[in-house]
Amino acid sequence: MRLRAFRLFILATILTAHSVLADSSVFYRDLVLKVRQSGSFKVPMPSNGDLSFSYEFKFSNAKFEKPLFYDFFLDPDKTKFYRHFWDKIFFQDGSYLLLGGEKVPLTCIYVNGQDNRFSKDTPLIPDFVLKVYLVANDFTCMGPINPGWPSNGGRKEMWDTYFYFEIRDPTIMLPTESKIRYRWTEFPAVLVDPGGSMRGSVP
Amino acid sequence: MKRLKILFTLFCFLGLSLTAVAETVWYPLPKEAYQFGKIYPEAQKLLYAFDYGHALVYERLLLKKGAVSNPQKIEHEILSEIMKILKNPPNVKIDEGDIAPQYVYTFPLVINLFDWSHLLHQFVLDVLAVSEDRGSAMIARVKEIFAQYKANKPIAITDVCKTMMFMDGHYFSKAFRRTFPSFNLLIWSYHWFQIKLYEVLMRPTKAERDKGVSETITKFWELISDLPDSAEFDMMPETAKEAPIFIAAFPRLAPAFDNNHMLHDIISDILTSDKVLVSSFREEGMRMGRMDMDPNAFKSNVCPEDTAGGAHE
Repeated sequence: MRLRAFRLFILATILTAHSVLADSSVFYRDLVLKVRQSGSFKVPMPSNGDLSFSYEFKFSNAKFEKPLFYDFFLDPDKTKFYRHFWDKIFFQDGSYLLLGGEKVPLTCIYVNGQDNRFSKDTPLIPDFVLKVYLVANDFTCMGPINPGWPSNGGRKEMWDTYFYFEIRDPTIMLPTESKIRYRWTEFPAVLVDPGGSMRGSVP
Repeated sequence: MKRLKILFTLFCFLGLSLTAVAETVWYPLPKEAYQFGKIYPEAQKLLYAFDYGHALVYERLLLKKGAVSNPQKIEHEILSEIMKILKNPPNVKIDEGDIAPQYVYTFPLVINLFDWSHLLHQFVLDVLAVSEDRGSAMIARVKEIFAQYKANKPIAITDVCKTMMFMDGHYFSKAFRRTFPSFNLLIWSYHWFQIKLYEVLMRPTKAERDKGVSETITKFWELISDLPDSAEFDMMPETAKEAPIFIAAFPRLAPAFDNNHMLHDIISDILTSDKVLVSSFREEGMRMGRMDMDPNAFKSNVCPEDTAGGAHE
């Protein structure tokens, strides 16, 4: 009898855990889908030589069925932890990064996020930090690192061109700490216009 | 024990739901990867040289776009450069982005398609080269590799037969072969060489395969010995015609390879034609790449591979 109860307990725990994980997955996917789908930025240069650029994208299918995540515990009692999560979603054809009159195809979004809600005790630390990469030219969304490198050749990093920014407030999804990598060369950028829509969906 | 099985199944279920589906990097590599080069180094080095030659031509055409007043002179110059590379081929697979950075940047989707398809080409050669006999184990292994290729849908060229209109039915078509006939025949000779390797590697004994590879190398050198006269191709070499035994064993691989080769010619035409503006290269490359992935675009109703049994593969 006790053994049966124990089995039921284990099974229930696993099923509950799966349900919690599934809920979290939906939540993080939803967060990623709120990334602003357009925006204008510039790389400040002296003598009116700013490099202006903008982006626009539409979501397509997700690369992973669900976002990936794990919890990093901060104390032995496991009461405090922060959660890392990752997600990749492809873009529809026609999504672009416009710079120097050139429309470079944006192919996917990669988000490396951290959920601090279970670890912080100060309002100075954001609940979420989303490190967002709008990736150009990679129709597989394989990066940022070549998983087999160096034994399978090529370069250690996969993406020659992307637009990177961080989001620390999911209520406004404002891009901060932005930089653009253009054919392996990186420039810090500043926001000009945060763009419109904050809500996308995976078809 | 039963409980452990249930737990294991549940964990597997959780894990599988996170599986990735799209990669240009074949990871982990098949156990046979690049073994062809150990058994047939001369042929493998030529294949590396072809990659180099393709990229070099594309980059030059791109950089010289609109500035080619004497195509024959350009053709002669680049051809002599490529001949030097073919006669002294690289030992390693060189990253295309290092040889042709502008080309790689301009045609991102096409590069993804080529990269993935070239890995399939290579690994099929590897399996054929290392397998002792031509039996069911080898056939199953090739099919396994092919299934892995096809599962990567975002960058897999379709294995459905296309008509030659896919290659020749556009407003820019045939520009490359008309402007640079020797280049074109050189590239068709590359394609012939690749296809022929598959065919001779289907021979039953190792001695026969060795002989076949050696003869193919000799024939290749004959084909390019005095271009354009030395290569007799009127049309792009097709796998169905050049590799009937290979096709009988792997019917759907043939269209996958031919569709790749056609896309190479299409890119050559885009780069050469006066009708395509430089500013349209990226867009046209995307459009053609998507067509190459689409099983319904330019679909052929007469497909020799289907009669070989591939329709239901």
